[in-house]
Amino acid sequence: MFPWNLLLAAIERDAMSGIEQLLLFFPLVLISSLVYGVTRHERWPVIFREAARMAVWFGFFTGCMFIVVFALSWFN
Amino acid sequence: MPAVEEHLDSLNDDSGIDLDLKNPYVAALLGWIVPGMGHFYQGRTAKAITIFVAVTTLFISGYQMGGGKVVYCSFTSEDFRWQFVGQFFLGSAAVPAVIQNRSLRSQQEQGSTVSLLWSGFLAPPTSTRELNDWNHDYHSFFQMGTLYTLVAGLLNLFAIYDAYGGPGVWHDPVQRRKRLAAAAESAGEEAS
Repeated sequence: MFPWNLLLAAIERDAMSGIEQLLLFFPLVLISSLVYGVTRHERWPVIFREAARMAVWFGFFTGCMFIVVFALSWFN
Repeated sequence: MPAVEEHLDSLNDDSGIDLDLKNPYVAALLGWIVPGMGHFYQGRTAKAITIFVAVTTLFISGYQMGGGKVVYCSFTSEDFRWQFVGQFFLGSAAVPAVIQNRSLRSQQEQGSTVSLLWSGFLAPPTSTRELNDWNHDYHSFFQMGTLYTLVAGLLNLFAIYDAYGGPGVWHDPVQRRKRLAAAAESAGEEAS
């Protein structure tokens, strides 16, 4: 049921619960990393290496931000 | 000399690649209108397809998520849509949005009944109440759709720059030859 919800996210928005909406972060990170890698390099092996490196970095950075904001929300 | 060349090429950069960017201004303009079109014009087909698929997928997903309301141009005091600055770098969406905005504002200035072009495609909200309704109806997906389309526009800015000036770590072949000569010369001096 869950992957189906994700596929339908754009059409049937209410099908996703609050926590499932967090998964919308993954395509954003993957596409951003790939396009960043493509615009930085010309050779595909180097592009993929750069994209993977950036995906990890974006994921780590936004994960840290999420943890901070989530922790702060406890005091709200 | 081959050892120096091998060393420089092993630095994970693209200094060894000769690129023909053709007319970079034309490439940048094409890339602004349609993502990847500038690369296609330069014959960098694989990159063109990757950029087109990635950027348009992100943009259309965001556009759908926000019910088609998240891409519009408005810089009034009530609705200062700063996100449009990022979305602007996707020209095929930015141009209709700018036309819609101009059309709406001129009608409002004249005090005539508002009639939106193209059934309201990429039109700004006609009132604060309508904007509030959009936020209410699409709640968090209005923000997420805005983010997706904003990021798509900014990624296309990177792609436009790549079409204009080559990849970020690419060096002009002439500069590369100079660098190789200088490295070989310093290596020769050290040996003697």
